[in-house]
Amino acid sequence: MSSSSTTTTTTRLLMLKASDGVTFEVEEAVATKLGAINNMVEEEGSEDLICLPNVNGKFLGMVLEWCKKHANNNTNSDKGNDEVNKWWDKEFVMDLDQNTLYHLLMAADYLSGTELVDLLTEKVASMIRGKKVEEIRETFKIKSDFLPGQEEEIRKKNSWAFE
Amino acid sequence: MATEVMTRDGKMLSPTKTIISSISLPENVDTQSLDLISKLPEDILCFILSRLSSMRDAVKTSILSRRWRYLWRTSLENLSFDEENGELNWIYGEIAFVKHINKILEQLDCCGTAIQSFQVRSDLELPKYKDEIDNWLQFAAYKKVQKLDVDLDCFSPEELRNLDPELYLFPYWLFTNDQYKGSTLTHLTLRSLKFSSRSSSSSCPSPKLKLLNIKKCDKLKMVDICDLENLTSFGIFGNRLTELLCNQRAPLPRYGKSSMRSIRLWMEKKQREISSESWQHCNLREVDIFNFHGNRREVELVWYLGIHTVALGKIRVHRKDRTYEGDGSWSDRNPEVDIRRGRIFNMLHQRIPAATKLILL
Repeated sequence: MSSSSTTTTTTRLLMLKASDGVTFEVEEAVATKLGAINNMVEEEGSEDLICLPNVNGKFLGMVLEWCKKHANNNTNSDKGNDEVNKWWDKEFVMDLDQNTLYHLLMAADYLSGTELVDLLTEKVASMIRGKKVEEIRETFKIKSDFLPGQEEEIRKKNSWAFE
Repeated sequence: MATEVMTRDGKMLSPTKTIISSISLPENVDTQSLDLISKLPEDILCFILSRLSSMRDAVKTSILSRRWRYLWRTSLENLSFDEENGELNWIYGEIAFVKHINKILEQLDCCGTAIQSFQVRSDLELPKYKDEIDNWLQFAAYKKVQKLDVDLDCFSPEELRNLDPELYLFPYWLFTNDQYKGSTLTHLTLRSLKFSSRSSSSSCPSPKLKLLNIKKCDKLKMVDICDLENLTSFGIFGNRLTELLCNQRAPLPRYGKSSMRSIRLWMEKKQREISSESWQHCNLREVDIFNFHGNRREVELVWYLGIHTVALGKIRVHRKDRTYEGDGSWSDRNPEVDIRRGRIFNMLHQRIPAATKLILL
């Protein structure tokens, strides 16, 4: 699977290779939205193939899709761009299941995609905000592993938060 | 995807170190029933908690599981203790309020995390709670707070106010540059405080300050903001401030029922844009402008002063550069470029109100 990018003579293309061997051909301007890749390009210069052994092809693809949208939207100097980006971001995170959310977040963090990390952590935060403890546990399938009585003790310490 | 087998069998689900530190989760494992969020690295989890913007939500996560127990302590960056609004409206009575703050701060004290903002809004009785407030501000300074907002008179409406209330002495020395290896304060909002037990003037803290708002600090008569090179927003509201010392880099104070009667401005080569924000000083009588070079911005400033004041009696333009050395003493320096009085007069006399006297020195 390789992404179909329009070949323009002026933009440099980079090959990104995921942990499962899947490669993506992306414009430099798109890939360098990721801090880690930007650093590699700046340091290593001529290397066109970048191996990313910590990211699987499926999620690398999604991260790059996000980068592409943002890179494209940023080049158009319309005032409505922020709005377009916001709308697109909302769509992007709307139906993410937790598995995808987790892997995307790990990938974005590994690749230093600061804005994407912001977007995804905000998504997780929105799933916690204003919820009861039991609801949060249910949402994320978190199992309490406290010793008997320990939970009650912690509750008591900040009882105001649990009322 | 296989589902049911995995949900009931805990063995496959138990977190291992490799999963925490890498993202190579086997693809074929049923992930619907896995607690993946807890496997995120600690810094990401803290980042998520810091986004909650509610202390209550953050504290709640402490009982999710052992993994989460202390995370909130290192992720709280914005502390707001508002007795009337927000999350603390269930607290009745000063003692409960003070105890609540102390309890939270005690838990946060052991974490090395810096905090971004610290806000206290309350009507605490003074001097009874002076030591407590001192401790809170010391905590804020120690935690390298950037935005500090202290309002110790949020309840009394203007007309019901005690004319000579006991004011809290703001420990500005905690936020000066030499405390805790350099001050980090960029935003400071203070209401109903005093700055010095004896004199009525105040030297401002942190040189990094970008925003300074002083509200209802009745004892304050003179403010010197000359050293605040980064200040971009300055507000004085309902004070009895009568004198302001500032250089041209500093923003002019915003309107707020000010009783200020005189401003001394220092002109600098580095020119300041006059803000388009409208401000009006009903009581401003005198303006002293030092180190006047006669450039366009300075002339604009004089014109601006003219149209935004009603009682401006005098504008004194000094060509000398005068420096306030504290304690009422000044030192004069001759200007670098000599500009003749006649030229200044031609530049300015048509730009000031007819009733305002222009004095050239």
